[in-house]
Amino acid sequence: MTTETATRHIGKSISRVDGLEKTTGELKYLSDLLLENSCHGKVLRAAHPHARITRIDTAKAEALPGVVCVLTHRHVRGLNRFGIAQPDMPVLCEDKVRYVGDAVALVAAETEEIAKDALALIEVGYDVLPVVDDPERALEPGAPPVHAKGNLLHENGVAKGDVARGFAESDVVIGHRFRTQMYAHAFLEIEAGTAIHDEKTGVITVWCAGQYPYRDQLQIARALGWDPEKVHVIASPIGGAFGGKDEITIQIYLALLALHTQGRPVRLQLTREESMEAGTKRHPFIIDFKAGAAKDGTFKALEVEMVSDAGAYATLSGPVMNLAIEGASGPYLWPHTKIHGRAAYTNNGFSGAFRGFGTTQSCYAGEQIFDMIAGQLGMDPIDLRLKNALRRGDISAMNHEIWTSVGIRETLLVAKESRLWRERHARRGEFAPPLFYGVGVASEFQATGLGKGIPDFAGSHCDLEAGGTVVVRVGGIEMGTGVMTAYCQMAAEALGLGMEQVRIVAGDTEETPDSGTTTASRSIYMIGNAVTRAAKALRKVLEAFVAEHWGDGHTLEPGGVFRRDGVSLGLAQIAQRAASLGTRLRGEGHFVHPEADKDFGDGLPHIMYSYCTQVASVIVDAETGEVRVDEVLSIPDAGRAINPQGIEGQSDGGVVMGASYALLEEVLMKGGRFVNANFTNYTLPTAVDCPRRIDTVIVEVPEPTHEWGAKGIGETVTVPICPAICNAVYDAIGIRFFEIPITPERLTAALDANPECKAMRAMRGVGLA
Amino acid sequence: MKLQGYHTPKTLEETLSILDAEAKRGRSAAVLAGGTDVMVRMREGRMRPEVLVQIEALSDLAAIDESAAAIRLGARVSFAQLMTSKVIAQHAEVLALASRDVGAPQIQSRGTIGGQLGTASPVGDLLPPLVALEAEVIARSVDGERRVPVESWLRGVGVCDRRPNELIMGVEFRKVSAATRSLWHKAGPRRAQSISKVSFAALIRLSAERRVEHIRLVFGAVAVTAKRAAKTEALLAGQVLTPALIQQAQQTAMMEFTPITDLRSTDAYRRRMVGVMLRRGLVSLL
Repeated sequence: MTTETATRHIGKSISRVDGLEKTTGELKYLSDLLLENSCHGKVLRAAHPHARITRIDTAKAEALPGVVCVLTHRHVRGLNRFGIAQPDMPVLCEDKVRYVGDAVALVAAETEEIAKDALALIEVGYDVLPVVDDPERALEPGAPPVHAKGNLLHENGVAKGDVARGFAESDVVIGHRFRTQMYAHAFLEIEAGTAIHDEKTGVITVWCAGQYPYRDQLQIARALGWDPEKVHVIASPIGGAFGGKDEITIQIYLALLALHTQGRPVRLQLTREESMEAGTKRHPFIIDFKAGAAKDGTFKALEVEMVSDAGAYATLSGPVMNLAIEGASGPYLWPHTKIHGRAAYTNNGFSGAFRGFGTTQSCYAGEQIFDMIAGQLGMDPIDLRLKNALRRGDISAMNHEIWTSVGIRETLLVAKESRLWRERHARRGEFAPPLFYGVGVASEFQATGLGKGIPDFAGSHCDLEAGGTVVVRVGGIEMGTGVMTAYCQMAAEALGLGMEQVRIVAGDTEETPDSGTTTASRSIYMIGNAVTRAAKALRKVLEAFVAEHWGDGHTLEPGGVFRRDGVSLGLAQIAQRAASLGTRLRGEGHFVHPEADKDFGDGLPHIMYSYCTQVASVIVDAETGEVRVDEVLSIPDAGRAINPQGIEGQSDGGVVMGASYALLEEVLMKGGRFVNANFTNYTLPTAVDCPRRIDTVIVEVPEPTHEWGAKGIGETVTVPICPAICNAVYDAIGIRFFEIPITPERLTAALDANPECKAMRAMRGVGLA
Repeated sequence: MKLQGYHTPKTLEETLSILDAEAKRGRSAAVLAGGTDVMVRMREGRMRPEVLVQIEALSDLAAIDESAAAIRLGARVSFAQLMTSKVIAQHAEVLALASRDVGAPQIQSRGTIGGQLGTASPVGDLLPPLVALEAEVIARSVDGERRVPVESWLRGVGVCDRRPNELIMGVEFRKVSAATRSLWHKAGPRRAQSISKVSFAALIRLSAERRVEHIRLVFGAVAVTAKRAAKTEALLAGQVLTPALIQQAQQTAMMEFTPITDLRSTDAYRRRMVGVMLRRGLVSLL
């Protein structure tokens, strides 16, 4: 721990190292790459959400002038499956399609237009099967099976104490059923990439955005039946992912096509509609959430039952449900719990990793129930949360000891003292019907890292290179979160260098070590630790090299200058000597995530959590049903902020994304088909739809197992805002919403159905209802 | 059918003869007067013209012409022009108000009034203002020119009165008097760049005693075309505007339309918004 010592870079708000080139557009993403002489690929998707394939005939497509190759499952020589947790997703379907995004064939052609025409010439025979479009019905006996093993993809549960006793001891018990919608990542950069097969070396190089290049390499190699060494993946930088590029997207298609284009590069880019239909989504959940508390607000018992709609394939549906289970308790102490969840296969697209990873859904339900308990007890909602807030060393709702840093109390205290919260009643008077003002609060704890039993490690190399630049190599990727800037800060701090003396190379299976996946809010913690250790190791290597070649007694001064007796020796000079000797000056850093002492399977539980409390004020128009988010106060516990400006950026983006989850966005499906799979009808917020004001106050409760005390906050800042808004809407009009998004249609229908709610009474008072 | 031809005529005569020739050959021609609808629809396969006629060279059609009593807008007049024109601000403000709510600056720069009339979408945001203005569509072919009131020009969802060999030249309408108030409101899924769930354009002139001397109330997206609330207009015409009358008008207007439920909104919400928009608009005049 170095919290107390003065730092040069750590804790300073530093503009992003990639900020300028992103702003000017100079930075080229992997989707921008267009190599000379490229062929263009296209994917034939399933014509039905659920059908048996009776026949695939590609002869006419192959005969079309300009077509280079047409590939089907027969061309997949390795395992014709992929999937992070369990490989159940066909690369190219051989006998059955299970959702409308399933790939049946690939085409490469001289132009994109020819490739598109060729798709229309591929004849696929189908026997249509009944569509499974409801996760609860999917789990009933006799439901048509999406997979041969049945529709129960995953089931897990945790328990502590005796819930029956806990509810019996409760003075107030509140339960309700909640539903959440399917939600799209809607990253700006559509899935696109290029691959080339070097026939001399036998290596396939794939340039394609992905959150874990080393795992993409393995999944590609497994499908090709190749040695992973022969697959080179370059996956960074990424134009947005949010979990949607954690699973394989088009990497295997690219590699397969490159094997059949006679050494020519092949480029493939999905359309936005295809990206929406074929790609990962956030799971719709059905949540039965019940909690009991004593008169004084002490939480007594918690019982949660959840079903998620996984869609057609597993990917990370198991771990997502596990995090929903883990997050259901909120950052609170419970004596008695029973939390259980199932993930069901259906034909509704497929769902998987999405920023928040299951906790988004259970937090949305729980934080409303806790608010209802506070209401029934006549308690301030923040006081209720403070009364039950976890402390370090507490035993979790899953019955494991949380021995890592816990900052929830500190975030709640900031919320309680905030202007937004203190003035919440006073401001109400500023609004007259049809406008109603309300303020809500919610808290979250987000499990970070991959969890119990899942290998969770990170490596980094720090090299002194020509000209005296320190190059930090990480297998992680930059998808817009700003971690590269933080890595630079950490390496520069450890080496006593300026930011400009450090450069990052990221996300390349040949150039960088394996740092694990860029997910689970793990980068700043895991890769940050590896980078810092690598930089510290390089410092030792440099000191030894200087001592060996220039003698003992040098001291390393800020800026990377070794000095002895008034004579200075710069990094460039040292690099030159090393090069002339053929010596590589490298520091290596590795870090393995600590684990919980209990094991509930598939990564459950975690041991590291980030904490966040968010307060939101809304203005509800009870005539039009529109909800305007006025102000948001976002209070993440960052352990220790490496780059406060970076955290503020993450917090702003997280709030906007979470507010849209509460009020605006929804992927609509009908009978397994997408209804609004484009940006015309899948409505994303514009700048004027965002909260009028977002403030972020960073709380720092240092995490002892991190070199600088830091923890990841990328996910936690997007989760509590949704229930905070739901609670604010209740505060404003007196109606609870158990289904999101709270659209004007839903809100006005609810007002009509609740003529005695406080908003409707006020409206009648002025003749507006 | 795939696209077979792309014409870039230099003159009006050339354009009309191309449209006539294509019509006689039986090929469907789409005129590009900005392309913000045609290009999207073609890409989605919802529109499959056999030829495109790009009229960017017809600069006369991009003019806003003012005479003593009337204004004529060429088919190529863009939303951006309507937003910034002093003539429009003074004599047909409702068009400027509606244009501001259409798309983003890119769409506002390219999208045109001709496109709105040709596409004839129930959610075309300029159509309720044009109906309120009682504009006439001017269509010309080699056979001659004819004028059709916008209300009868709009025939259905995506259906207008254009004959296959015709070019939409533009619209003409009487100037709105200085005493007439223009109202515009639009409800969409979001606050900018959105497609209307309901839109409302109105022209209302009140006497000093708030007697309704002239009233046109037009709603978009609640019927197959932009449509006047005729019963509500009749209820209000000649009457003194009072809170009680406004409440009555709100109820009448809601009953005048039978909107549909689709992926953007529900029938109940649309009907409610017809009433709310009307009420708020009328209250703003008190």
